[in-house]
Amino acid sequence: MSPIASLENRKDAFVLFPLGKKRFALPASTVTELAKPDKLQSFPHTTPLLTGVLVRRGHIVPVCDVAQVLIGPDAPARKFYLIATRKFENSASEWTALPVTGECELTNTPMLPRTGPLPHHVAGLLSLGNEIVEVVSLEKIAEGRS
Amino acid sequence: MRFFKKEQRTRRGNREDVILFAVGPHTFAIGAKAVEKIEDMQELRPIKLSAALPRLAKVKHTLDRERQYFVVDASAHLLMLPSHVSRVLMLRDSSVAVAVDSIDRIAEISAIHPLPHAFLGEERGWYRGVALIQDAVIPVVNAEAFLSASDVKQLQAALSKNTAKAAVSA
Repeated sequence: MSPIASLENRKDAFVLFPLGKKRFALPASTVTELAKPDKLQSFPHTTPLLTGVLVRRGHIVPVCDVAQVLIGPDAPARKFYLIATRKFENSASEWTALPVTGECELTNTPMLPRTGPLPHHVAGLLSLGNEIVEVVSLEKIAEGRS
Repeated sequence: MRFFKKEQRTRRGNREDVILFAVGPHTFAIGAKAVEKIEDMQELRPIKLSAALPRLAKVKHTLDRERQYFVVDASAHLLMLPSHVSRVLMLRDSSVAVAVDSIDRIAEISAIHPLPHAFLGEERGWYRGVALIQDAVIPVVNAEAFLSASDVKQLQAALSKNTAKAAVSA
């Protein structure tokens, strides 16, 4: 196992992703890749936050624009797609692409429990120097459970 | 334009012919087997049943042929902005027709991929899934979702009522 793979499999490993001036985190074990901007394809639907789909390595990957919830409607242009695995209640899982505004970073930091009145989609917090980063539950944010 | 006699519709594996059509800025596919004929809009008769059946306001015309077709406006069905319809897809073995902007072509697809689980809304009923055609993801519409049998019965009843009213007032 490579050192990176070993780090990604640890429960304290998280991928930090930027949205505007803030950074958020996902558990590294759920992240598949950071992809360059790809052809977003859209068709009519009624599911909030979904902006379309990408075709990635033969998969049809829904694109979930979580920036609308995490930082509001004035998010800067998204430059990359962070592709992560989302689980569903029926035990199914599939890739989901999250548009992010810059490069991502891997960190190995213990997650602190939620404190105070945080949105429902915050699974925990990472303390990184002067910065507190929210660890996002992809399942809860995509379901609109904030 | 009439499509595919039944004997011509033998399939090769999971391959399926679909008709590609446009509504607004989007392209959709419908199984060619689901379509009996395609006509233009000339002989459509407008109906206004939105007051009696607001849920079925997407039915804006009828078309009289060997049977009466209720014509669903595809943009209204798919909750899109109104578009410039010019063609009517008359569905096979059905009293339902669908008004669309234009017909693109017939394509053969090798698979219909399930709609990703992330799509949770009405689209789960609208589409059978999506097809990949030359790197484009095309939703394959569910022909049975435009109107149910009970919708058709309600439309027929409402239309009969309107006709009877018109006869009395005349």
